[in-house]
Amino acid sequence: MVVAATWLLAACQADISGTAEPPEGSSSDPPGPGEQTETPEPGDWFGAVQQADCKAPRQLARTRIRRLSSVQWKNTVAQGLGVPTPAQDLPQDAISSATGFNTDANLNKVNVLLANAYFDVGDALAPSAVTAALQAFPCLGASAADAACSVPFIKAVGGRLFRRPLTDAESTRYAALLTAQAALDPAATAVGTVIRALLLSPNTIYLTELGDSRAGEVTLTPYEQAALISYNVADAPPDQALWQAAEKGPLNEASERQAHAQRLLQTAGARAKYADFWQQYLPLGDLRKATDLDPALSVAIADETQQHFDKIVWEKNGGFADLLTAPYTYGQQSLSAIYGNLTPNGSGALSLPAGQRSGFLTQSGFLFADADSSVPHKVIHRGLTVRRRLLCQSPPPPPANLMPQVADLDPLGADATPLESYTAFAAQKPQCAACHSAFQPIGLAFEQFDNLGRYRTTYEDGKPINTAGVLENAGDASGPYANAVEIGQHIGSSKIGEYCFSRQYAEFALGRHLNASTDACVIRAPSDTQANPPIQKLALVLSDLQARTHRAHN
Amino acid sequence: MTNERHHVYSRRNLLRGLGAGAVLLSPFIKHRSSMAQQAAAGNVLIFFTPNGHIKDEFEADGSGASFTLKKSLAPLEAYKSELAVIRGLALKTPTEINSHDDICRILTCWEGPDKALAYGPSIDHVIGNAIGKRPLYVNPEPNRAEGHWRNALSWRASGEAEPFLTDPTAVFSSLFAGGVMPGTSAPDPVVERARARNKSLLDFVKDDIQTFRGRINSEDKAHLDLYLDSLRDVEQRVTMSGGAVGGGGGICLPDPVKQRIAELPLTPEQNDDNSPAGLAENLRLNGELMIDLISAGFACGTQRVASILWQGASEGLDPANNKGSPNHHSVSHSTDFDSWKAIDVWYAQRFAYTLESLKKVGMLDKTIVVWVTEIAQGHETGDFVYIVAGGQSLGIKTGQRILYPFSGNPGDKNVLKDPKHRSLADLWVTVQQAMGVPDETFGDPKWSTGPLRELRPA
Repeated sequence: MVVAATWLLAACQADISGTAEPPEGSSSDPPGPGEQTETPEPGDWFGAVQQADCKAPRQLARTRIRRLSSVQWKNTVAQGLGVPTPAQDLPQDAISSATGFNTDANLNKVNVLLANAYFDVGDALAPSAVTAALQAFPCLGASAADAACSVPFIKAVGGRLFRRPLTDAESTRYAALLTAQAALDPAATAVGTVIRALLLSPNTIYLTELGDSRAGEVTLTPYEQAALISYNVADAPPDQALWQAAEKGPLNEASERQAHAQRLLQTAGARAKYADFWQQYLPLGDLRKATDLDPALSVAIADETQQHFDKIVWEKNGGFADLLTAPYTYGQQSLSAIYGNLTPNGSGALSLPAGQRSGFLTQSGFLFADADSSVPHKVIHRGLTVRRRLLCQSPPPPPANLMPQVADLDPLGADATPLESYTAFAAQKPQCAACHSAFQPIGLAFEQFDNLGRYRTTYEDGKPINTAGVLENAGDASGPYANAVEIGQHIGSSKIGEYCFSRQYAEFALGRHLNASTDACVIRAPSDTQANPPIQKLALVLSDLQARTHRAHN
Repeated sequence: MTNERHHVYSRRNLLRGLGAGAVLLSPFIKHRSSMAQQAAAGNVLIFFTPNGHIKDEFEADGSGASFTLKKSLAPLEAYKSELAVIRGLALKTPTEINSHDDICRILTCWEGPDKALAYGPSIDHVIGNAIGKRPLYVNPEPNRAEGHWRNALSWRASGEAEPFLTDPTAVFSSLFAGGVMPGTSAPDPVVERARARNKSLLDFVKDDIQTFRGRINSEDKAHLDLYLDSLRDVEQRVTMSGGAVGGGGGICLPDPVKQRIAELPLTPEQNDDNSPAGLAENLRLNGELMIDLISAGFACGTQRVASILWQGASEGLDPANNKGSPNHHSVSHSTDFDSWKAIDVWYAQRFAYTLESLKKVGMLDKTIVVWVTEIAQGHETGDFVYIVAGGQSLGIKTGQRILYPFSGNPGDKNVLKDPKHRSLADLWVTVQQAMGVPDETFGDPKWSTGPLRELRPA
């Protein structure tokens, strides 16, 4: 996510020539084509979230549609047709500059590539789908044109794909297509054509919040509620229990909605969804560039990053603070080659050397920088990640007319330490330092870790490493620190860190950029009843919020 | 460093290939008013190289028909009578900060808030719309990923960048696989039935979308509009028999070009700024093959509008020194003028190859070739040097240097907008009119004053 904080902008000019340029994705961007003007993002997003009155009546969210993600589409198709999950890859969705995730509902449309992929995958799946259909509805082989046979088939398959019962008009229309095709083709081919049509229907492709689609206030249907819960938690269409609940009527009780969400949270789909979030949240170094790294160790590094998250979320039911401050890690003993002596703590984890590391910010997966990465680049990358991902604050991007030279950031030459270089750079180029001061000092706090994440106290030339500093403009995480571990502790024990993590997850799961003014209560919701809420709770709370029934339609 | 077979493509490229026919065989919605007339024949090829040029050498001396090519254009000496060197045009619709992201604007000529987006269709699509044929957009780098403004030269519409093809097999397929070439045998009834079935299927789905569209919030209707548009591309790919689109008339011999696809050497993968040996040579081979494919498509009449992005804006190999990306960009902001000039010369050799390729199949005089770049020099988007070649049968007057007066700082937006400076958009007015689109403006109408009569006399 990208939030431009006014405290930064006040001193931070995006254009070195003096013409300020709005940061990418910032609230000061005029709306793009087809976008509505939004409430401006407050300069102090954390303050706005803290101060929001979440008991006051809120403006209704608008009705919307969301194209299913690739994973959601595949799960829907597999479940709907009774076939294995399609192996074919769909085009990758773009990473949103506003959220940093590939789930942006505004961006994710059915473009030419995707439409072709849908068509071709549907074509490829048709034979096995037809086989399944003919087994379930044997009458199709001889009487495909007979409505008594075709309508039940269409209602069954179409209902699963659309996540709702088809209307009579819809089933009649599809039956007519089957009749027409059966007059021209063998029955199996005609059935395949109808299945392909169902797959290409927008009712399959889009998750809806349309309700009865009257102008003004509308009420979601029970089936939409069920689908919202299911896709939000597990990236899958409603299971039988949810479907049956929807058949009985609206899911008005929060306890009922949450019970379904809690059940779905135990599925593989939910775990895969969280894993997807984590992989997109954390900008891992590209280990493929580690040409001098033992391949097995490279695998262990990547594995540690994911295991740490999985274990804390699913086994310890931990929260963001645990991710950030755990004095232990999960992974292979071979990581000792990087971390020094790792000792099993008896509960399946490995204790980290005391005082040197804690949490994911000090893991090799996060710290890794390839050998060709310049020191300033590495420092800036680490510092910016903390600002953006952990504090939800982003300085504007470098001005387009800036031609940075490595020498600018290294004014004292290669023999100077990164801290000496930064100090000289900031003195020589105050207009650059106005922005760099927000993140580069944070990056310097990570200098106790080399490119591979190995701990060190001096540079190779014997010069000492000074990692102390003051975290500024970071809400309740602000304060002096001695090193990166303490930065993690500051943020891990702060509300700004907690809210930021909830915000990041919500932007990923809801597929939109949240506004700290209008979405403050969404951001705060997981923390309403519990400080440092378990990460599992994020999906539960969001799916429940999503499934509440009223929307505004125009 | 890993090597890959050239024809081993990424998942993304394969999918792009799947959509290749769609990309290229679109029956475009004819929504523009400016399509009353079509040129009976004629083609346009946009030739993009990044990062501008050193204009001191990438230029000509003299004026009118009496001109001398300078050093960077020396490879074009044999084609001097086939080209026009145009100096002095200004992009009047840059971002606040003229920069490389104006790759999004040089072919679209609309302003907008997001520098990484275009706000209207590019010239290739405007012409494609008019002739009912989705233009071809290629890049000769198998490892290039799409989805970045650096590659966003061609725009279907506001906010909708055209994906490019990097796989020559996909390019060939899109040009010829769906096409019933003149003189081929009668259609296969099984294939014909499959096409008819697909047509029924897609018609049904389109009706479904229209019904669905009626239920959704006005803000989301664009989703359905794009889906409908995309399905039309699918439809063209899976229901139409392809064939000529009003151009052609050249020496139509695609098979020898196809044969060369299999003969392409390994493509090294660039993992850092240091180019592995052979990367530049590989770019040359891939690029020239793409050019020959385009020429074949033009000659056979299966395509009429194409663009080639040799390298992305603000990056690029230094092919003259066989250094990897972004060394081209780096030298364009350095004092290493020799390297920069050498890059210009290298691309001039590729441009010469392009003209010869078209000439060999008898299409140069029927094809307007425009060499464009997103930056004139440094970070300036005024006082461009552009080269237009061919197209004589479409009224293009070649064998001349055209000088449009330019004064002031070509990096200053206000200077660019000064009415005394001729608009780059007017070059596209000229090109579109040559292709049968009669509009007197291109892009944002307030920055057009009509066609360049020096280039295409009335």
